[in-house]
Amino acid sequence: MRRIPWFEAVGLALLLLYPFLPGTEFAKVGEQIRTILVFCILALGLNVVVGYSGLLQLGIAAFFGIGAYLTGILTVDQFPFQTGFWWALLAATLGSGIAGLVLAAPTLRLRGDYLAIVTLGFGEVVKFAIKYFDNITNGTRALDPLPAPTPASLPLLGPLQWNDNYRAFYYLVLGFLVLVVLVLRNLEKSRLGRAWVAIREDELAATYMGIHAVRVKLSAFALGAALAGLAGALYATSLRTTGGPDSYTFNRSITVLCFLIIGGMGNIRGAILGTFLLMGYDNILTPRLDDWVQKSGSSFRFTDVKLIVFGLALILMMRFKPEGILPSRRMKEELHEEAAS
Amino acid sequence: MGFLEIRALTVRFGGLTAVSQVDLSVERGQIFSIIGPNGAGKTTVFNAITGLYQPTEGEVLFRGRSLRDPFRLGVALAAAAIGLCTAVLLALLSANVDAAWRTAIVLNYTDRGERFPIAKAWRDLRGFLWANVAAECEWNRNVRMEVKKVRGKYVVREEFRKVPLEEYDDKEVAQRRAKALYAMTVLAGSARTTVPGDGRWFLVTSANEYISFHDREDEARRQAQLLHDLQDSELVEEGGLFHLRHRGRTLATRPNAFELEDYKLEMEYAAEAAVESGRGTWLVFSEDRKTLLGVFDSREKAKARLVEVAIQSGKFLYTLKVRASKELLGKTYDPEEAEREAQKLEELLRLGEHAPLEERAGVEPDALRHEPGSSRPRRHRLFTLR
Repeated sequence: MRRIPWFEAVGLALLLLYPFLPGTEFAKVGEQIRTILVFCILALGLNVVVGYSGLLQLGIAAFFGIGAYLTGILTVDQFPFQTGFWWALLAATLGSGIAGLVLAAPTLRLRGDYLAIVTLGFGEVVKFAIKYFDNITNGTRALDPLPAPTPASLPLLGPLQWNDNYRAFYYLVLGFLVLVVLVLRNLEKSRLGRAWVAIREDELAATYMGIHAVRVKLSAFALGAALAGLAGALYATSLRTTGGPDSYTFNRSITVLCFLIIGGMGNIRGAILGTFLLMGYDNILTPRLDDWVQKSGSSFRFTDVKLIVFGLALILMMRFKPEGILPSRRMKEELHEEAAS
Repeated sequence: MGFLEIRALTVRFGGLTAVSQVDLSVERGQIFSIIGPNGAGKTTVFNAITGLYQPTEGEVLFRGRSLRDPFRLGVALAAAAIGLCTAVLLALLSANVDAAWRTAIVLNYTDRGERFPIAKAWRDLRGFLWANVAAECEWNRNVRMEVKKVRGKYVVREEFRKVPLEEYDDKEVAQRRAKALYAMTVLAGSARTTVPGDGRWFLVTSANEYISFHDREDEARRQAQLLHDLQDSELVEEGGLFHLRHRGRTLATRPNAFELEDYKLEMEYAAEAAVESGRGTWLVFSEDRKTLLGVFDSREKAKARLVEVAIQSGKFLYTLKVRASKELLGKTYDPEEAEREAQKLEELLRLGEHAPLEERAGVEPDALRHEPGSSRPRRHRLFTLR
């Protein structure tokens, strides 16, 4: 029996209808939602690596940054390339994917914690490279302004104004997110997707069943990196700046990992829900709560206790629902079996 | 020939023969079982195949190849290829990606409207990479000296760049000097020592920038060695004092770390001081009058240099020394008078009276431009006055 995907249908309908709300306050929130959508793609990329294949990757921000900076380098006026948005997007996605391959090829022999340490180190290397390759990345000043996609390059969204209106990019990012979700849904059920899960569950057993572990892990790593690069490209272009090295720190990698843990590892819906919950709290709810509290005369700021709330949420999740809010069926069974035994 | 072939396999553990003379052949895709009672040696055979045990006799062939000697030509070539790739990668990294980018892209790109000169960028990039690889070789060739007879004189010159340094009437003296100069350049690292006409020893960087001058050769050599050592010296605290150490040798001691850092910076700036060469009349000195910062043919240039140094390092005070010049601080004298004035000024400076403040304030901003030869970004530090 085919289940009607109510969750997805309602969510997509709400997201599609949101930009029709008028007014500046809604527009401000809309911009935040656009950013959240970008981070959904990033979280989905990490989900492929951590959720599906079970490789702990702590340097996703590095690939995010590589995507953003490739887009920046290829589009800004400062450099001679100026390929325009679409080629840059393609180059960012492929470039990050290749960077993922290059990192993963020698390091996938490592397992568990050791792989995590290598990815963590890679994240730091990329951050410092961005900081100190002053001629390429402008260092801490960041590359800007990134030009918006020209109307001609996207006839469908042509009449929308890229510069002063968030809506064009909102729909573009939403479109990409839907595309990524569709691809991952199909991939999940494909031979490769099942191979990822098999590797996660028991690498030795999977290898004996004829799965080429290295190739499968490499593909997961590369796909995750490529999706992160895509997210980076969209992020940089939507903000019109690459944002400087501080946007691509270890903190960001961990935050995205938190989205997955809260939302539910190995599940597309979980990853998206986690991103919306945590980033929604961080970017949309806290500023408004702060305003409200300040109006009543208190100097307390929710922004200051943001990390405490995150940490508390994580601890509570780990204690009461370690599989996340919307876990994949397999993860849930696995974790509850462990709890029972 | 099977996919996996075992011939006369025997495994002994000390006196115990676990497996004796086993032959078997497995085809590709075949499911092959070995059965036998406890202790028959099934596991031993398996372990011998996987390489866990070394067979005492016999051989294990996989795809017709013995697994006992896996180091073949292919493996050796692969290892060499990996090494080569790593070396190329390291060379690229050491060539400094950022500077390469600057050379190829930033310096060639002018404006949106203009066409980007791809061919030139590629040429520049190649030149840059090659220069980096070649720099090391060139340096070695550069410092070697040769003696050549030119118009009846023996000229000591650099072997590679053919820059004439000194000339002598006597061939043996010239050869001795060539040897000494080579030894000195090797000793001093990036600092080279040459003797201009007036019989004093000047310390110069490889880009022909003055560092200091000395009356005696061994002093110059010591200074050169000091500068060389300072570049990789480390800061050590001992007995309440701070020392700059290089391989256990103390180069300088100051009561606090800041002063020591300043001293090191000072020396590094001194090593970078780009000064016009020639027998200038205007000399710029460091506060302790030991380091010559510049030789200038005009007062304006000397003053500009002075202010630049003062800006670069707050502690770096200055002295203007005038030697046998008719012109002194903008006034014209006859030679003896100038000499007297110069001596008076020198006396004044020795007593700690420095050039008045308005002299520095009067210098135009464009005179503060950093010398093009130096790569260090200019430091904007306020300088203190006594």
